[in-house]
Amino acid sequence: MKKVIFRVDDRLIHGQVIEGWVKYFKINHVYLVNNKVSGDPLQKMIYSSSLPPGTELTICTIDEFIESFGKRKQSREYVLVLVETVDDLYEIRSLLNDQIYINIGCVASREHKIEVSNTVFLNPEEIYKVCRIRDDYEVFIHKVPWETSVEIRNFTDLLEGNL
Amino acid sequence: MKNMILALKSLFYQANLNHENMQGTGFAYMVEEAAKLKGVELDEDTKVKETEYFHTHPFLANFILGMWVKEKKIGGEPDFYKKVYSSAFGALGDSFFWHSLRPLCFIMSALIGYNDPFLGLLTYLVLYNAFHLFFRFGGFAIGYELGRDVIIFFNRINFNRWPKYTDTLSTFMLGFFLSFIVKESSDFNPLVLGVSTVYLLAGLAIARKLDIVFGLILILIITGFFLYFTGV
Repeated sequence: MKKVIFRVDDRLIHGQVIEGWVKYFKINHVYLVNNKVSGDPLQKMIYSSSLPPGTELTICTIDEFIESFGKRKQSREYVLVLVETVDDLYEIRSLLNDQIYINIGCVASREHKIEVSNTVFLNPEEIYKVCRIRDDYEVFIHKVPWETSVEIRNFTDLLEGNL
Repeated sequence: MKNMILALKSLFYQANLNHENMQGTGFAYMVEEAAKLKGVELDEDTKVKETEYFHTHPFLANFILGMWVKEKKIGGEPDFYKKVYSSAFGALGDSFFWHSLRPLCFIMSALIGYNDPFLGLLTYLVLYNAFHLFFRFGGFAIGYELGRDVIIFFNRINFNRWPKYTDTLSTFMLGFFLSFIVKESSDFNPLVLGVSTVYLLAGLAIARKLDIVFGLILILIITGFFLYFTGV
């Protein structure tokens, strides 16, 4: 597994993230990249309280993350970066490279969204953005590490009128 | 009494768990009665809205229910904090109840059930449900009292550390149980017990740094070399 994991998950820190990713890969550092959470002390406290002791949590805005993560030194530590939406992932795409495992974990069902997997529901605009990212890097749908991941390849068909 | 009925009703909370709205139906099923209990009237739109996607740890859902009703009553942001807490309580609840408490209860049950299977089964049910029912039955009142600050309760009891403490106790009890089996099932041999203990400790040490399967393979290889070179 690559040492840096970027994950789209609209629940941010929850059970699958802690038991599935943080504990499974012994992740040392979690970045929660979200403008709303970053500006709210109560939300910060709630998310900080839900992590197991010994795991460092950095909560920052998208702009702060782009600035700080770009300057980050290579490390042997496992790092998990959590964003809430595909739009957020698209905003930080300049940081992506082949050493990063890009994974969509959970995007909840809403009106006018298409069921991509049993936990991922995307609208056409989000599918378009995933396609653009996928042009350069592999993108996977992966709930928890011990389940099979699905590489996203066929979204272009969806965009070509097969929605 | 009405609190008790609400808690009992919450035992059916997950009956309609599904991929589309997860526990949303369960939350909507609970919310009307919970609101009525605190004198909050809900219109039809709100009741329908509460069937939307919602997923948390089921044993901690009543805390969110209490918080939601309090926020609704004071004109706060019930749905916003419902989403925030659903994630956080999912993390806290899964870590403790599913991944730490269950193994501990199993080990305790196996230890006590070694001589009396019925008592072992009873141990599991009592121990597991003592925690489960405490959180389920106390959740609504605490959630309502603290409202959006309900996380304070979990910080006060250091709940995010409970899995670590429970895992430590489980490991100790597992060692105790294995020693007990070695002693009980054959002629007591201190060498076998000593070797087993070294294996267990080495396995745990390697698993902490690497991986449990890799740790096992490594120990087997080292043992193979040891046996080969000592001519066993």
